[in-house]
Amino acid sequence: MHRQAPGSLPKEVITPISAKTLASILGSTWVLVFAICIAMNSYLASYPERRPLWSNRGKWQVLDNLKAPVDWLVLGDSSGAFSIDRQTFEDGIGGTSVNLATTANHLPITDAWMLQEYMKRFGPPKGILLVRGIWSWTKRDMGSHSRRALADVPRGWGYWSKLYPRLNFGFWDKLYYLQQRFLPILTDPLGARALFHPELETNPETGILYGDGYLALSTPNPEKVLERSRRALKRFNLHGHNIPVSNLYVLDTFGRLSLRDGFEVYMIDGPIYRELFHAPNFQKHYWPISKRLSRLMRGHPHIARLLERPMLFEADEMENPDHIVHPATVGFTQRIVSLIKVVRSARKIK
Amino acid sequence: LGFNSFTFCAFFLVAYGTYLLARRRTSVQNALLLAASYVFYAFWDYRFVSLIIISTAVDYCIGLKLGSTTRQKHRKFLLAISIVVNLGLLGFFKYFGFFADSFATLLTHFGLTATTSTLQIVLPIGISFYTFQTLSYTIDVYRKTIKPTQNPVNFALFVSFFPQLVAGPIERASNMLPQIEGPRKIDARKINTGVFLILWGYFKKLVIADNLAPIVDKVFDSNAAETGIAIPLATFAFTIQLYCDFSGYTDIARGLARMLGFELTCNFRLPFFARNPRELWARWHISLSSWLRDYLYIPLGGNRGHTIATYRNLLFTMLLGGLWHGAAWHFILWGLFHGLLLVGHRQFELTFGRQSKNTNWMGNSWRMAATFFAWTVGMVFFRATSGSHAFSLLAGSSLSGIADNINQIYDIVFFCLPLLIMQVAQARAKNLLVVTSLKPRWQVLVYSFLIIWLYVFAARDSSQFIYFQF
Repeated sequence: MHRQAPGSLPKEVITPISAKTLASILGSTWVLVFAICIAMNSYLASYPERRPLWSNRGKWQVLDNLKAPVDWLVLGDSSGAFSIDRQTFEDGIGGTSVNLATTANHLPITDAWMLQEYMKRFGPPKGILLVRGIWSWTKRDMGSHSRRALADVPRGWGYWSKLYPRLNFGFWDKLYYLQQRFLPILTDPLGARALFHPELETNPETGILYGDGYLALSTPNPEKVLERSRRALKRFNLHGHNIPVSNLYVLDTFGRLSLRDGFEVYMIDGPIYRELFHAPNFQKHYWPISKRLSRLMRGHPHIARLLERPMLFEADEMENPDHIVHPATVGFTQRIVSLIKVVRSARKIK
Repeated sequence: LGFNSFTFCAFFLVAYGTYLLARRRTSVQNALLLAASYVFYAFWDYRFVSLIIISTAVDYCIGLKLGSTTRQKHRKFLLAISIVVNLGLLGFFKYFGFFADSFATLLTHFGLTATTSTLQIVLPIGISFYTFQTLSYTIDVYRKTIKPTQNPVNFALFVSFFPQLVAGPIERASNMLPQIEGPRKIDARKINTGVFLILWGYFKKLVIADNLAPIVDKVFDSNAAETGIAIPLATFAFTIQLYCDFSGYTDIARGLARMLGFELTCNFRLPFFARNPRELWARWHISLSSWLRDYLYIPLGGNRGHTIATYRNLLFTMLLGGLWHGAAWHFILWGLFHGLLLVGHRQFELTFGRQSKNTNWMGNSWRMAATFFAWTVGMVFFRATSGSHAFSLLAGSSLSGIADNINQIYDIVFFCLPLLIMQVAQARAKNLLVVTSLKPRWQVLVYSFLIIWLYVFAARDSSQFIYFQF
């Protein structure tokens, strides 16, 4: 314990600096940081690490890139994005289709928006298949995740008040929209992480987005299914059973448009992991919402809810508690097709 | 309310704004800072604010009494009260459980059984730091190296100044009280160096330390016994993690203090560039090592007596230094390890002569590497959960299994590279604030890099600062 000769140790030499120079340093720093963020924008917009955002934006781009009308639109959340097998669906039901299903955080309101954007260009489709997990009907309008997903809709400033039903964007939502659009490094830096440090990539690409919007998963992940199920069960305690008013407007929009233009709307719950569905906590959450949805559907003659309860799958057929992998997608789609046929024959639709 | 929380950022902005509004009145600023410091501490655990107040009140009163009395016997008695109260509080909250359990274990070796109803005592955060700080004040007043302060608010602020309250640096009254009592100037130089220290501190904590933590925890907190190169890698990662965590905290504290117009003690001077154990302790946790030197080692006799007595003093001081870190045997072993290193180095110099200051770079590099290696080995004792755990890790270490740990190696290199570049630049310039002496355009580049890296790589689940537990 000796005092070291001070001369041999590094010191803190304070360099004189004027207030003006300091202000220019700090100002230029923020300008440069801002410029780097913008430069990274295009990369971050398509990076698979941000799959939810990437697939939301990607599905809007699929819609924008459509050259000709299709017979069927598949709308909904990721359970619809990953679970419908195109070949089986089109062979079974007849005609062409496009899959515009996004994610649960991309609220049901975006289904109504996408339908209207489609109809503006091509007129009404023959039919709509709406696949959503039950929980996406109870999501608040602007939870933190939804805010992020909705900020990723590739439409200009104020789009939320130009499409129907209108969504109320508050000050922070608008600020988030600007951040997400121009400074995604602030809102979701995971993609940037992987750009500099590929080893940190935690969620490598799990689905390939084709031009028709169909996403394919082929590798089951039972561990993830179990882990996410546990998390989901905890979350259900926090969720209520209320369906927000904006979602009632969504159903109303589908009902009104289908009545006016004579197309069919078929709704079905996304596939669910069997154990999760049978968990008492899930049952307590599921049935009040399911019954409410069915009641609401009855008021709309062109909307049919295909099943009162979801189709159940085992963990080794799934990638997530509500994402099935091929070939389970084939079975799921076949069942949907046969249910649609039953309804159509009852309604005498050809 | 750690520095790495948004709540703290909001707290600091409010406190700083109010502080600047009162810039013409030092006494008002001091009162504001004191209130902010107590609020800051109350965020951790409001119950223990009373402990700080007790410690403050005792040492303030004893300081005044020491200043007004000349009778040596009376002065010694007053000093003894301060030591008993401060070390009593520290001993009760930090060491009671440890000594009770150790005593019970000892009795079982003699075939006796002791029923210990061990109290589950919560350790008040920062108690080791502010206790040493108040103790140093009383001892300095006793030694007449400083005069006691008359103003209770100023003294309370010295004890509880929030940037350094919970993890140091352990300040001396001779440095802090004149700054508290006199007018303070916040100019561009202070803000620029403050901004750099804050940014660099956050970078070290959130980008480097927190991203190395999983590599460390996987080995040291795992129930399954790891073997092979995973252990040396985790130990190396912990050496860097601890440094970046603690020096990161210190840098943020010093940066915040500069923004408020205060200058805190420099706590780290590139410790990994030390060429021997003695130099290392002049560069690592300087405020603690100098405290131990001035208030323990030198009063014990320092190196003034026989060689054996010097060695005894070194060992005892380092042993207590280890115990200061925590009430556990592995910390005592860590202290003992460093005591032995210091003794070994001293004996080496006695036998072979003192190393020249102008050794060539090869010689210096070799010495630095050897010192760093020894420090890293010691880190096993520091991080292990017990003495036996430390020895089992040391026994299981080898260089096998590189291929299985390639991701860990990549992470260590990736996250340590910016630290290495910065420290080499600091060492070459012999200036810890080398960035602030760069041309403005280079400063802009460095600051931008730090900000972007913080956005991108700051660990999302940032852990608490390691030294908060001490």
